[in-house]
Order: sequence, then structure tokens, then C-alpha cells
Amino acid sequence: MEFVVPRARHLPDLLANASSADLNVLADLITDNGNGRVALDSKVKTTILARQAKGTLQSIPDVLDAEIRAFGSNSIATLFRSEGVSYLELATDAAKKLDGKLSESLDIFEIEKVVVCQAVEKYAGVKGIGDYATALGYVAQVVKGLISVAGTASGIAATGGAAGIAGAIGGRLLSMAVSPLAVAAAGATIFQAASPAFRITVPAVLQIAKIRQARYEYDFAIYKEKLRACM
Amino acid sequence: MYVNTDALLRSLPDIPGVMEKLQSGAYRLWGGLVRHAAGTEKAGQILGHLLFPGDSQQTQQRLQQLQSTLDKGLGTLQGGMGQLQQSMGVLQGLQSANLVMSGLNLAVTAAGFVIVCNKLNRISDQIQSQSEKIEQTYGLVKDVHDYNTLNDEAQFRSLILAAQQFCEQGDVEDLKGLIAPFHKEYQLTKLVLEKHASFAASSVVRLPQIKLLQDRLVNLGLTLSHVQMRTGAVKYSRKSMVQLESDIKGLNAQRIKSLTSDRGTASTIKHDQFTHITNFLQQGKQMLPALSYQADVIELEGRHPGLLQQASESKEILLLAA
Repeated sequence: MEFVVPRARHLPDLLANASSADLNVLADLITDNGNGRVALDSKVKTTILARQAKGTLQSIPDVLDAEIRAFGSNSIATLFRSEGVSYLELATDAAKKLDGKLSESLDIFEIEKVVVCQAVEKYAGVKGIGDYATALGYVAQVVKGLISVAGTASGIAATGGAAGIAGAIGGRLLSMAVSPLAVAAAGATIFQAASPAFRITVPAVLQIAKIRQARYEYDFAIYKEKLRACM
Repeated sequence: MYVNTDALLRSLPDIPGVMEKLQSGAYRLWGGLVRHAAGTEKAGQILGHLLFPGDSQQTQQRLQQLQSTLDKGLGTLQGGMGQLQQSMGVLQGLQSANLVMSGLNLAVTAAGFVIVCNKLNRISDQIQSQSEKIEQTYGLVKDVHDYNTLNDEAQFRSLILAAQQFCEQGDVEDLKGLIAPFHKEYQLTKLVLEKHASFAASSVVRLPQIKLLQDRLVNLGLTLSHVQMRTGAVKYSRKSMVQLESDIKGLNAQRIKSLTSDRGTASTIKHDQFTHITNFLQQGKQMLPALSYQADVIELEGRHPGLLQQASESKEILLLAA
């Protein structure tokens, strides 16, 4: 990467240096908590689960990158895997799905920002978050909730409808922030988001945004440290 | 009060007691000063002032020899390790400053002054050549602006030439008349640099021009200090040197503050650009010991007139007993 504090690190680069805790979330999403998916090759699943158990998911960034991007091209009618879309395209689609406003000049950092802010507003019911760092604070809860309903269509029913979904993404958070009617509306939104591709890609983009921000902060801290050494 | 310096000034390698105590950590270096180390009976008291040769290569050789001599003490040292390491750090800082500035006596000797004037002339040429390139590239400069730019540059160059001439001729009264124009040029350059130091992007996209201007500021500061000294205004000569040190430190601090608080600019900086920026900032930091040393030396010259001439002609580092 040619920049000192890059905003658009490539996905494999980001994943190779992410924390195990953050990568575990992606592994759970890709493998449906180890249960496997129709669209997931069994050998790939075995590899991911083995590395997850050892805490070395950083060693297979290309595998994780390929699996995430492959979900970007899936649909309920297309169970056969393609090579996947670019991550930029995947994130852009996720932002559009969440009714985010995009312009052509936005880089991946800004697109992920749109996804995070829209997702926190829609799924956590928290409106008008101006500060990105605050919005990122909700990501773990929102992703956890989305992962729990991301397995199969029956998985959504098993969570008990809108109320169940609300519980899955953090009922306390929702009840504090919004009315019961809004909770039901949030549940309905999740149901829409949980269409075959987006039920995987939306939480994936949220988690990657969190990883990117952590890496960005790390790079910025190193940059500041090097400059302050010149005082 | 005039004091005969011959009795006080000796070549440092010829004073074994001082070298041994520096090695043992009983004395420590503090800029250009030798002091009694912390924990000793006379802790903090000044034993003497170091004076470096006029020639920068000789200064570098002598500093390396001194460092090498002190280095031998590290293996056998029982106590005072911290003091010795600090002294070694001072020597390292002076070596870096000597390399960065091509001398430690630029403002305080006649030979150094000639070097500074030549540098200023070279910087003027570079500024002029960059200015022409900018004009050619953007075609933004109108005739009036063009004339003013050339006029300013001509005034600046004539100021340097006049200062050189008056210094060579020892024409003190005419030199005094140059002090105000030198102040004006110094302040103008400083204000431009301060303005840009507040914008992080300036330290990235305008770095070549800023480097030139800072180089001009440093050499203007040295010139001003020298002219002051030649007119007998030792107090103001020292003040100019202290001000220069403070300005370089302040400009660096402001640039670092701007760069570390502007995330937008930080994300646009490429690795090779960042290397240039940090090298430039390090260069500013590294020259500070040389400026601090010269401020001390100017003060000494005020107390012992003629001392500098004696020191600059020496091939060894001299110690002036306090």
C-alpha cells in the first residue's frame, strides 16, 4: 500500500492483520456458526473451522476474502458459486440495499461508513448518529443479531418473528431507543435484509468496516508517533 | 573586565583530568559546557566551555575522537554510566548538527559568515528557478507581480552583498544600517513559514519550497547574529541566535501539530513523501544543538573578546575554564 495511513487497504491485507476476535465473527458468518451453508464448499468450511479453532484465521486471508466476495454474487436462484464480485461492488450493493446515499466519489472507507450508519439506524433503531466512532460502537451488537438470523430462511422464523429478531440484535438496546412498534418495524427490515445475499454481505461489510477502522487507527497512531519523534 | 584567555584556554585532549572525569561520569557534557555531574559535590557547576574548530571537517574528526575516547570508558565504568551516556548523546547531537549545518561556528566566525552568505545566494538562485517554473507552468503571474518578485529578490541579494562587503572592510557603521533590513527579511520569511506550518497540506505539497525558505531563514538568522556581533551588539547577537533556535523548534512543533490533527491530509501522504517530511523535520531538530552552542559561544565572546578567533584557528577542541 503506497499510503502511510491508507483508507482503502485491500481485503486480504486487512484480514491478515485483524484480531482473532474480529475474524471469528466473519468465520461464524461464512460457515453459519460451523453448520455449513449450501453455497460453502465443505473443504473450505473445514479449513476455516480448523484455523478458527487454532486462532490462526489471519493465515488464510485470501480464503476469507474469496468467500465473502462470493456471497456478493449469490441469490436464492443461484446456488452455484461464481468467482464473486469485487469487495467495492459488494459494499456498494449493501449500502444501496440499506437505502444509503452514495456518490461516485466515495471511496470504500466512506461506503462502509454509509453501511454502518444506515445499519445502526435500521437495526438498532438509533437515529441521527453523527459520529462514526459512536456508530461503530453498535456494530458488534447489530452483527451478532444479523448473524443469528443469517443461517436459513427458517432461522428467521425460529427466532420468533420481529420480537425474536429484536431480541437477537439486543432487545435492551432497542427497547431503550425505540417504541415497540419501531421494534416490529426493525424486525421487518431485518427480514428484508436477510434475503439470500444480503443476510451475509450486510453483516460482513459491517464487520469489515470495524476491522478497517481498527487498522486505520493503528496506522494513524504509528504515523503520529513517527512525527512526534521529530520534536 | 578583560581576562587573559591564554591562561584559561587549553586543548581538551591535553587535559587528562577532564577526560578521565568525563569517562568516569564525574563530569558531564551539557551542550557546549562541561559540568560537574549530578550526585557530585559541585553538581551542576560549570567547569568550562568547549570551543570547536572553525573547519567543520576538523570539528567532525575531533568530535568522533572525543566520542571514541569516552566510549572506552563504558567497558570499565563502575558508576556514572547514565552521566557518560548522556555526554555521549550530547556529542552525537553535536556531530549531527555539525553535519546538517556544515559547521558549528557559522554565525560566530568570519569564515563561517562567508559560508552563510554563499548559501543564501545559492538559495536565492533556487528560489528564483522554482519561481520561474511556477510561472511557466501556471501562467498566473502578471507583469506587476513578476516585477515585485524580482524587485524583492534583488533587494535581498543586494543586502547580502552589502553585508559581505561591510564585514570584510570592518565597516561597523554601515553594518549597523543593515540590521533593520535583515530583521525585515527574517521576519517576512518566518511569517510565511508560520502560515504554512498551520496547514498540514502545505508540509506535504509545498515541502520543496518550504525547505528552501527554512534554509533561508536559518542562514538569515545566522547572518543577522553575525552582523550584530560585528557591530559590537553581542547581547543582540546572542538574542538573534536564541530566537532562531526557538523559531525552528516552534515551526517544527506547529507542523507536527497540524500533521497529527489532520486525518484527511494524513490519508493522502505516500510513503516516499512521508520520508521527505520526517527527514525535513529531523533536520530541523538536529540543527538545534549547533544553534544553542553558538548562542553560548557568543556570550563567551562578549566576556572574552578575541576568543572566537583563537578557537576557530585551532585544530583541536578547546576547553575554556569557567
